[in-house]
Amino acid sequence: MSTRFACACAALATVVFAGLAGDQWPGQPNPEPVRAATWLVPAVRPAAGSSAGQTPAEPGCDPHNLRASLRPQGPLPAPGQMPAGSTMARIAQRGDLVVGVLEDTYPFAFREPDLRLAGFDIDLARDIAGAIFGDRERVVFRPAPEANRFEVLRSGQADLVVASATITCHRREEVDFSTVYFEAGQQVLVNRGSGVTGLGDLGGKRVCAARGSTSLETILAAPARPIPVGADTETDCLMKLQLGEVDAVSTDDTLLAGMAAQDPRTEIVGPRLTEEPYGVAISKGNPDLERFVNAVLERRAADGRWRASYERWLTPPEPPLGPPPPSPPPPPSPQYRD
Amino acid sequence: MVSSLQTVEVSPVAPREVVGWLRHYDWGTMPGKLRVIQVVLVLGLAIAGAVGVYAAIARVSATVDIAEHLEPLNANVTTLYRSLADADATVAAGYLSGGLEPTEMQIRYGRDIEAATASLAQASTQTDGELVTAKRIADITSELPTYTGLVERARVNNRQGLAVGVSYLRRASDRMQDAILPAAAELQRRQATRLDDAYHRAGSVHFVALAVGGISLAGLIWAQAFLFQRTHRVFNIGLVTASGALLAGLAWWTIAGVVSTNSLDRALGHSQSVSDALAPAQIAALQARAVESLELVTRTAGPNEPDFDAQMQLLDRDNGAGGALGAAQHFATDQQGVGLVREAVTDARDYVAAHRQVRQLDDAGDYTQAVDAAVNPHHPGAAATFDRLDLALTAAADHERAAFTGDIGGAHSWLTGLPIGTGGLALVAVVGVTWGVQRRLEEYR
Repeated sequence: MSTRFACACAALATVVFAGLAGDQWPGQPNPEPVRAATWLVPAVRPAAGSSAGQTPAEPGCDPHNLRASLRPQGPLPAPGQMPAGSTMARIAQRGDLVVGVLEDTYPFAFREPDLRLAGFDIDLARDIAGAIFGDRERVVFRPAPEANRFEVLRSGQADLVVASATITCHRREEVDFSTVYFEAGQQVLVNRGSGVTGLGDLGGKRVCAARGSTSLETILAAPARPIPVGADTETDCLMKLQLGEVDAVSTDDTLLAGMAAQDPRTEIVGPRLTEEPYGVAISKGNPDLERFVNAVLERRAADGRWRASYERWLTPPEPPLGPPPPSPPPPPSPQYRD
Repeated sequence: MVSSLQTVEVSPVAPREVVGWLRHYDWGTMPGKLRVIQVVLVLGLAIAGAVGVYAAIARVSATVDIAEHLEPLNANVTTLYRSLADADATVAAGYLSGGLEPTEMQIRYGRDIEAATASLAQASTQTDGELVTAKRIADITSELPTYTGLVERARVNNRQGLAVGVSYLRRASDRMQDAILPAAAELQRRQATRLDDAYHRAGSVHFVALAVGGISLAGLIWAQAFLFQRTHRVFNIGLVTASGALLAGLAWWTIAGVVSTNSLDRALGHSQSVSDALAPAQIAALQARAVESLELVTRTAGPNEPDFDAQMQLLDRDNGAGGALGAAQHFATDQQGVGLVREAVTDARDYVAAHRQVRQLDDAGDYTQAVDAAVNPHHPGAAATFDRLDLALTAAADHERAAFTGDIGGAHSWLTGLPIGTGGLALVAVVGVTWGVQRRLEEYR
């Protein structure tokens, strides 16, 4: 069975589950999805033995080459002096860099109490704006609907999308990606004391992920046959877990860490199920912008800004006693295809 | 005598004695004729009186039912619907104000829920055995605590700066939009239908009463002409008294009927203006306001402008001619009422313009400014214009309600004495006919 078909079915199943999940109500378990799952899931499940941990491959997209992007050409131009005729020059002339972001994926992009956007993705977007204008504030954030994150690129409403987006072959058909700026991986979040140690223990249980995310496809393909439940956002999954509507949330570890920080009665369990390399999405046909963004990413990795952002958003606070938190991993090393 | 005649009419096989008595009755003589006239007139007047009393009681009780039962219940259900929509809009706007929800918004939400709970409790005692109504009230009663529970969880999380609060807020709002408000809307529709029926009851029947009264009057006049021809006496005091009583009754009925029907029609107009136009307008405005706030709260879903536009279209359409406010202008009967509705139309347009500005700010990436324009009541923006619109609609509805109370009171006061008066005058007429004809009959002894 082609993976593309599997993806299409996964999307269909997601819609079905989402519709059912939306109708249910705390304290009133709805038996319908269970029945739906028993006839829907086997039909799209990959053959036994196939790994759920691999990013699905499309014909013409080599999974080994997935992370490769266009090499920066020469040093970064000085801020305010973009090469004439380039996409960056056009952006500079317009006055703002427009970036599509998710606005409630703590700690990658969320609103602080003063309503300012903050997070790991937001730092990156501001750094790119800084490289173009010499002013990190010259950026307009546009909400990118999670289920259709790249629509703002296609419609020309945004120059870039920095939205915890995993680079996949499927998405590469739609948009171009920068080099990897963060390596995430899918894990499982459950209530403490549930005894669950990973997706393998969740056969027949409801596991939540955001609609349109790669995480939901992984849940659907898991050999233990959990029941995928689609939600509007990842944060909705935490609510569903708290309300007892789902038994687990499975998505990128970084987002799960953000959820665990919001609810100390939950914990992350099990090994990394997938590799989720995050890239900046750029609309097709802008190789100059792609190279420029990659140059900014290289410079961030070199001058310590990547590490500073990681420590700010992704390192737990130092405990008063006990060992200091682990130091951040090195930034992902860029891969180029030219 | 009366009973024997009735028996002839009703029973298919008359007892032999009655048939025999009728056969030997002296139809040709004057006393015989007088006796027949007496009986027929008394019967006609008694029927006219009975129909009149029945019709009067029906009208009075329908009017009292409207004034003391149905209209309060209708107002109650409208309050329920409005409070629920207001709670939804208030919570969403309050959430936008950051971790610390402004006190006035907390108080407003608390009042809304209190009002909704009280209205529900009251409505549940007045269902009059209507099953669907009772079911909808039960639906709302069971959903409301779940809604408030979700709102509380959203607030607690929001106060702690936890992103999951947004999810609870959206869930709460979805429950309100998808389950609670539709049930409240159905309750209101049913209540409006019951009220309409009562108005029809209050305004009907009286043609029958007038027709029977008119025929009786014609009979009385004919009888007096007959007596004048035969006895050459101009006045028979009994029959004249009966005619006077009947005429007075008919006049009373006509005047009270026309005046009270006018008052009832006006009251119905005011009542419909609230329940069919102003309340729906206010609820649509509140729902549009909730959409506006939620657009700024839940970012990943994307703006929901079609929903906002649909709600505001319910309010104002075709340049003021259509929509709920167009209907309210049509219903308004006095200058003040028309003025209040026009004010609301202007405010609604100002609000739409202010909303567009919020969207423009947000689309341009100026989220903080957009939120400020949407929720800060002290700046000229969507919050301030919405409050003006809400107040204008409340003022217009209050005006119509006051007018309703006046008109239904007027209708009632014109009808108050009608059942006893009709009965009394009918009795006077019956006694007058019996006595007056008896005097003539005695002259033949």
